[in-house]
Amino acid sequence: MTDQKIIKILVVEDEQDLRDLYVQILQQEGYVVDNAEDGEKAYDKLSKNEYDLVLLDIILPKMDGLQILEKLAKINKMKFDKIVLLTNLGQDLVVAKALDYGVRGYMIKSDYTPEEIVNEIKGYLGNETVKSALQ
Amino acid sequence: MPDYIKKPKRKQTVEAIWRLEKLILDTLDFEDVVQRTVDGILHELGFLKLGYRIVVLALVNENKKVLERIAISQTKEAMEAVEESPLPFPSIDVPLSANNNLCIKVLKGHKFSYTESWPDILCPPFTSEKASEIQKTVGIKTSFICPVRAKQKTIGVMIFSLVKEFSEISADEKELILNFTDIVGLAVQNARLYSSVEETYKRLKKANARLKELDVLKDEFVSIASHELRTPMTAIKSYLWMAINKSPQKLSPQLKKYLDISYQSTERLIHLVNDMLTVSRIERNKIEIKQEFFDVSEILQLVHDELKISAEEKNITFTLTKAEGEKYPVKGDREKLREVFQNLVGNALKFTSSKGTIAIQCEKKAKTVVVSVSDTGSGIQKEDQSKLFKKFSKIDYSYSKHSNQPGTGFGLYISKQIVSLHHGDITVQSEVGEGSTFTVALPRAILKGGGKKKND
Repeated sequence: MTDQKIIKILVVEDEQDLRDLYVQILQQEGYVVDNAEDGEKAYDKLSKNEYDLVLLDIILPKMDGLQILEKLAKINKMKFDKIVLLTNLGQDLVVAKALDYGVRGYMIKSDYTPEEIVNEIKGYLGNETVKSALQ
Repeated sequence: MPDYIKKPKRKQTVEAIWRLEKLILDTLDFEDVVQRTVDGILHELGFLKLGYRIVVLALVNENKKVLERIAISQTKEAMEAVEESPLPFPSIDVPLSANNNLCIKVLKGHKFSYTESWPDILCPPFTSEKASEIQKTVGIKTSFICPVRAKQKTIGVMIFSLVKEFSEISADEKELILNFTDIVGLAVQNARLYSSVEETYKRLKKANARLKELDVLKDEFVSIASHELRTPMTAIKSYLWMAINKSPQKLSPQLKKYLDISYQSTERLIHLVNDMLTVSRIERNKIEIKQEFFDVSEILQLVHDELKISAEEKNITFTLTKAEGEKYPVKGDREKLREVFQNLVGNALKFTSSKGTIAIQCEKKAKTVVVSVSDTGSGIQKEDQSKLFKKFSKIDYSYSKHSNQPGTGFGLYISKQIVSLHHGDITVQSEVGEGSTFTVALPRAILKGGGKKKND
């Protein structure tokens, strides 16, 4: 019954309160959740590890979301369709650039409740959704 | 009418005047016109050979109350005189009150005059000694001063300085000079007008460029400010949601109510920021309208499904009427039009009280698809109806003040803009106390693929 695949998610978010929240709600859903609070740490983790889904903010300290995408494109390692932008930036141009890299989707943080974010993520993960770690 | 037209002229004089006129009217730039004015007679008409050496144009400056030097001919003697002058040429101003100065006399008397002594025309501002000294250095014998007129007013003088005696000036020369100075006035006046228009145009162009810069800064500000506002609002919204929905303890009804109100207020703030961003996009023409073919009744169904719970909560009858099996094809942005109808129904919900009715109706006309949202709400005064669709309209605020769920004041403005971008039209009909009907007419499209069924 618990023999399901482990799903790893990376949350890249510089605001600690939001990072804690996203980590918490995703862990409650049974996902293995890693996190990064700035662009450099995020890039480091992304270039070393494999994730099933990455929630990527755009405005970040040290290296912004676009720079991360640019660097990842150079090492040609990352599957961009595993990345979903989770940002509060309403600047269409910046978002369009990020989408040009082939990222999977784009969510405005303030438009979603925690529950809706979880549901969106389930949608992105498709049928692989697991409940294994729950209880 | 200039004198040379009134009196019969010798053919050569007329021709010469015509050539000069053409020369100075050929350009409209003030600097150019005045320079051609002082050079033309010397070079074009060969007056240099007749002993004419320096031509100066001086015009009245009403603000400074002086006769100021405007242009001087490009001749050797002129350059020498400028060199000798203790003042730079453009600063040789004669006060209009200097009634002993011959230039001022000509200006006020409107009649030409001449002198063999430069102190007559250069004092003030120069001392008599200095004026005589310059005259001697340059070698000028006579200066002939003519009034320059425009619209019956003497606006300045032209000074012709010669290396010959006044008695040596022929009648023809005199006639030509006087006729010439008559057209100078007109040319100068035109050029001044033109140059002031040019100047204004340049200033406007500069102001416009500055406005564009400010506009870019404003856009940057809006996008940065909205990001900065959204970040704490996301935390408030998310943690309130957690408190309401994931609290480990059961909430007392009172506490739940407080949290609900806080949550809804946060939602309103977020909505406001989103609307501000939309308005900023609309104003920059940066709003993107997708071009998809779809059936409007599908999105009306979605809006109906979404909002019927709110209607039930308020005990409002909420209906959607469309012909069975009929399609209502339009081309445009499904999501944005959905927001328009959400907004219209949302407004209707705000202003309709319990036991009222809200009806969405969809109709297919020859060239349009018409959707109306009617309510039995409070209605809108006639004079306020036209203001409804304007941004920041006062009515929008007072309109929302009557409601316990105020809107952002942008909703109908955004709706109108979106409908316009679809080449459609939005109108309102309302009676106070009876209710309101908002009607959206969109161009009817031919649905691609005819009766293709959508899978659920």
